[in-house]
Amino acid sequence: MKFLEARRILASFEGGPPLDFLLGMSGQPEPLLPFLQAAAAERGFEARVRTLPFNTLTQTLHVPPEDDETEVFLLFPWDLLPELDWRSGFPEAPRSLHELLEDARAVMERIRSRKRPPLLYVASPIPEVLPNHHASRAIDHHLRAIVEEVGGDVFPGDAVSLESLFRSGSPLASSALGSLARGIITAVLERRPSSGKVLVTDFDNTLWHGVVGEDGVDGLHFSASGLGFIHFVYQTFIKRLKRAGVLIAGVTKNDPDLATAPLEAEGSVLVPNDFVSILASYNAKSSQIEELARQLNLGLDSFVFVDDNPVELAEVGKVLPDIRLVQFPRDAAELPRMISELSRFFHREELSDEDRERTELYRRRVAGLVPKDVRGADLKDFLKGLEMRLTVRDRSEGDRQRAVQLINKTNQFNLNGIRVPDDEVETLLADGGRLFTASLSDRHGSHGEILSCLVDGDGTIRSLVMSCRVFQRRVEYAFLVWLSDRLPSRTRLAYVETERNEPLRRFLRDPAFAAEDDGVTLDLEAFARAHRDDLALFDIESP
Amino acid sequence: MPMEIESRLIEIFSAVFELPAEVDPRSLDRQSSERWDSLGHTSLVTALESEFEISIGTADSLELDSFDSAMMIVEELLTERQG
Repeated sequence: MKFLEARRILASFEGGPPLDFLLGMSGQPEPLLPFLQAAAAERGFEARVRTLPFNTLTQTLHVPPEDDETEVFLLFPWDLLPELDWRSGFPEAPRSLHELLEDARAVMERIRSRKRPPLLYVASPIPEVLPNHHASRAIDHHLRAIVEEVGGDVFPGDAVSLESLFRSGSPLASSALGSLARGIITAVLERRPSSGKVLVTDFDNTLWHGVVGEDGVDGLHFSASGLGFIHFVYQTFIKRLKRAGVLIAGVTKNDPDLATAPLEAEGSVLVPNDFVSILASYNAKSSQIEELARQLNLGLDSFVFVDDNPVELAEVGKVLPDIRLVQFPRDAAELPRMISELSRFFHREELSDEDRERTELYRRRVAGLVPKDVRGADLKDFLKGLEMRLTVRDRSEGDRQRAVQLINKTNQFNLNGIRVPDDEVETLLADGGRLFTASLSDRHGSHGEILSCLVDGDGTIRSLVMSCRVFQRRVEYAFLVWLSDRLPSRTRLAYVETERNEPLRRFLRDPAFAAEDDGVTLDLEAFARAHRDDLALFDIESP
Repeated sequence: MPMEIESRLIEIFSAVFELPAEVDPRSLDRQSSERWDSLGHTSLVTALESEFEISIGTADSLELDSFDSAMMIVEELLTERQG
């Protein structure tokens, strides 16, 4: 992107939602600003960038971040090690490599402690500050590694202009402003809430080379050779995502039998069971994906749609603006870019057993989904037919990892959205609190541990969360009826309205709940009388 | 070629210094323009480098003090690149 191109993008931009963020960098940010505006406009946003006064990055890092401000940092070697600032000349008494790297790691830790902001690092050529030439060169490699270890993006050294740095304090090469701006905007957008949960992939010319309806299964290429190589790598990557708990769905304009035939052919890495759902019809892909989101009960902002056809991508993007779109590459050179983009979106810090089994759990959810028109008595008949078994456990002692994970990951059916670290749970339990969980299984299989309830020593319900996988099963009613024998008849709930806990709010409309200034009070006796029959929907196993 | 460079320079000067429509960018010089301060100068150099894919050295940057001098420097650097 050149300067006037950036201006034209901005001139033709009709406006969009604001994208507010702090750009933390030590040099003059001004030359970058028009490119940031243009890069945001390309993605449909109006960038509103706060910048730091020249050379105040280090001071900023010693001040806590603003509560609601998204931050992104554009770093240079001298931000991690002041000795590497060309403008300071060479230090008189060089320190050891070990000391330098310790300092660099400490700076990185300080940055990371600020809500783990996205990082971009420009690997500028650095002055050889150590007497040992090889050790000096090693600094460069170590600094890159420090950045990459925390998920930062590294830009090559030619994104820096020493001429410009010396002349004006702006270290950025003019030729790199467009790509840096796009990188920054991508990092900010990916920082927004909701990480990826569902990858929806096209089939023809994406999962394989060729069109199954025209070429037949035998005419397709998806093995590790020739035309199939790029598709083989993509399939293995999808398989890895699936193992990490990402839900994989297929969407294709085809007859269902024909669409899935290649997945059953010898040599296909993916098999039909790897998919939580395969949508094969001649309807618009946007409507198929929208229906899938409804069935899975997941927000479209957690979806990625991969297709080789820009027209299909545009159709989906127009109807479903929250979904992330990724074009399948035309050639192998573009493959790493796509893999990197998807990896970033589906980034996971750690894996639980639940993550590994997620596809199966959601497939059961779709299979046991309440039909749209089933309500009232019909609903209870339907639920009875599911042969549900609710296993309640007291997790006040022993393994509580999943229970705490549920409290800290669930957004919709969540009493207050407050994240409770494990050590806080431990303290609360030590003070007489209780932690309960519930697991659900039905005739389709197990849904795992789907409810978590944390009660403090005074009998106040501090956390109550339930997985959206089991909405409309009356689990929350049955659980509170079960709990009614174990808590005071008037129990306080630490309720706080959040942006996303509408399902919980609907539950609180039950007449047994009464709003108070600092939460909600529940008349457990009245609740139990009104919902005793919900308990009968389940075969209950409890301590 | 010079005509094309001139029209692009007009666009760049107008954008960088946010000139009102009635101001002819070709009349601009660093001494008489309030907007052409050190920050504006940095933005101008960056915009010229980005647009014409050139690198303006410190000596040229110091000489860049009017629309005419910008025209001359850009032409020279483009000729050097071709040569």
